[in-house]
Amino acid sequence: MDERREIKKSLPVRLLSKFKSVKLAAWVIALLTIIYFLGLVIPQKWMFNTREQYVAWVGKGLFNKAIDFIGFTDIYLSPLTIALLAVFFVNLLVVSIYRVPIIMKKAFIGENPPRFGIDDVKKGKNVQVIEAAVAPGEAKNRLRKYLKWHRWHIFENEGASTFLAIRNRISPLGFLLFHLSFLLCLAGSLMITYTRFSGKLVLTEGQTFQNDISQFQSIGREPKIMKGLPSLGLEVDKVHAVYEKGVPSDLVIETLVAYGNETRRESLKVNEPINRGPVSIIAKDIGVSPLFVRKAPDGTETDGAWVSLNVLHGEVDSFKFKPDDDYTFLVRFYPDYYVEDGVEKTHSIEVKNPAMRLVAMKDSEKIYEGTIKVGEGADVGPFTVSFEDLRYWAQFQIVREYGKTPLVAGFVLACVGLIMRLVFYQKRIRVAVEDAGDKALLYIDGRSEYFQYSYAAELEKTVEKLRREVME
Amino acid sequence: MSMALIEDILIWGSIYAYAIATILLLTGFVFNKEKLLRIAGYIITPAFVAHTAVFAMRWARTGYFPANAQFENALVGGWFAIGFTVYLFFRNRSLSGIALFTVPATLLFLGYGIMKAPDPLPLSASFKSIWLPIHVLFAQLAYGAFAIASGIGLLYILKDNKERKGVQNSFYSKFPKLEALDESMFRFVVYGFIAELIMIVAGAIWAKNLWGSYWAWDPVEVWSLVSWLLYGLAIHLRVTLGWRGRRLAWLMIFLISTVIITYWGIDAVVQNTRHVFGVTPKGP
Repeated sequence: MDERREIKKSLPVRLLSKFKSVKLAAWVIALLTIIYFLGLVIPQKWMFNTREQYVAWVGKGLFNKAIDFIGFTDIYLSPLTIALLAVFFVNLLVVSIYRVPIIMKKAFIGENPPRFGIDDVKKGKNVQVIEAAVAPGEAKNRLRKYLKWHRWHIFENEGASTFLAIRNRISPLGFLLFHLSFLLCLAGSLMITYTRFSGKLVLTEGQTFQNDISQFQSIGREPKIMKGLPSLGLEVDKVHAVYEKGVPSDLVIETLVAYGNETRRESLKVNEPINRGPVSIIAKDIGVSPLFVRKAPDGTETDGAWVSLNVLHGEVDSFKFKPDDDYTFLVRFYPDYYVEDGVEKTHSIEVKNPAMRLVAMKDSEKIYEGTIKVGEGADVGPFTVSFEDLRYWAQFQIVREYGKTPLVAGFVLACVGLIMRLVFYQKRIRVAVEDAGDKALLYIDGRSEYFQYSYAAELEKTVEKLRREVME
Repeated sequence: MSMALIEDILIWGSIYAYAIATILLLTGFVFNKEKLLRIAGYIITPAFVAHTAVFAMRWARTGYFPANAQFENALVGGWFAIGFTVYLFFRNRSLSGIALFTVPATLLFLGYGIMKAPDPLPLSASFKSIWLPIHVLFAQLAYGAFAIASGIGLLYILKDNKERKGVQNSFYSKFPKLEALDESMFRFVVYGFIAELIMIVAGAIWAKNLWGSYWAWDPVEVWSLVSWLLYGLAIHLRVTLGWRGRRLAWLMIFLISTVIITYWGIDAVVQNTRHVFGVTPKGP
């Protein structure tokens, strides 16, 4: 009966002890590395341009189906990856908990320093001896003062002629901070994953967003909890884009932002998002929106719209005046138009002399092709399309998420913990002072947590300095 | 003479000097000619001065930290690797053997960069961030340190092979003791590990401002994390399980592959990374 209880008691402990092993961490990291490598060679869902392409790929054979079934087409969030990450974090947590008493002991927090005598120091591996022509008490005092000045923490052995000096005493706490930082990062990441809303919004200069979700061009992520989004209004006044040698070198979007009860003018730049509470407005892309007006042969306007086109970098885009319209227009844009040897070209990507190459299609048949500038019209046949004006559109990413604070705190703590543990590692010196008649003999034995080989040379130098500067 | 021409002369001068140094280092190591290693050291130093001048001139000319496109990445990355080598050459002559690893690597790195886009390009708006120099600087420091750790690993194996055979070789005896090499290797791993963490953190904060999320499982992000975790594991293996000497040396030589994959491999094989180290101007 007792034996059975003993087994019951020890089972969770035995299970937990499995998780504290470094070997387990090594295996998990190795497996994660393999999975991440596979992520480079197995096509991922997000790599497909359309869902149809992805479905077609999955349908191409048993292997693809199997890969998709085990979640490896979304490998970084596949059940196996998540399970391995979970094991990794449990491992970190258990290791941290198990190591707390050891770390406290190492940092001498709530722990008495070890007692040792002169003989223990003499038997040390790196013992150095200093002969000082002063009384033992004075020699000990001088050494203690020197070490304290150089930020060594002194632990006295009461009534004994020995003492312990430690440099970077609390360095072992860095281990806990570093491992705690992983848990903070995990907490922050989970909060972000579950509360994140992310959507893309396209607004032309002069256009306004009034917290209407249907205005979003696409919604990348919807929150799983805290679904209510804060009230946000956004108006685009002006877009200033600068291109140098075809490289987009500057972008400023003048906006009017309404959040809660506050409305403010803001300049939005690439790399400088507008942040309001948990909401961020990020500049993603720009393009041009020509104002095309459809006119009847008598000149009456029958339709018109600012059409946001993706044509700024030479792409061909298309539009219709109405979704069920019979006419489709293909558009190519020349920001700074000129003709050379009969070929239409642009000097640069900067909008200086804009022109649109229009191709009108009806029932898959080309019925018009020509280039028009601002103020000009294209005679399509039953109607005319005039190019009245040109504005920029800006694409924004609107993000709402919580969890930034623990995540960033985790980042900071990771850096601090790592530097504390690996840069400011512990060094110890055991000192024994012996009375040798008219002089004192100081035995100094040193040990370093890491880099023991070079520390022996460092200790030698320190002792030499002590001989010359302190004990003279 | 224009600044661009001076830059060209200096960078080609450095490349030729590194090429000569590589030949001398290889010959010196293979045929145990210590004098050749010494000469290589004296060639590397002025080449590094010229390299530094190009680095400074490029910065002054463009007005931004040189981290735009492959050539500038190669320029800065190589500068750190050679900088470490020259520092070790002056601080501890016996450690100059790591040049066998860093100089050819820099030569290839610069050669690759100069083939791509050596002329300065305007800095894209997405690169105009305070986080760019921090991210790139720490990346170069980390990868430079890991390259040095691998170089020391190689030196360790070569020296240890001779000692194991019981061969008294005056050439290898000039290099530091195995214990010192082992410690230096670990020191550079620690250095690189901390620098890579700062690089990842700076990159995540920059990504949030630029792309709207701290982490997007981009292949380059993933592989920098893999590399960081594996170097972290190496530290654990040494501190906790006592891996040192040959084991650690082989591990260092193997782990440099993660840096190579992160830096070149992904850009070469994956189309969908948002970390494009080369900038191709978009235009009609």
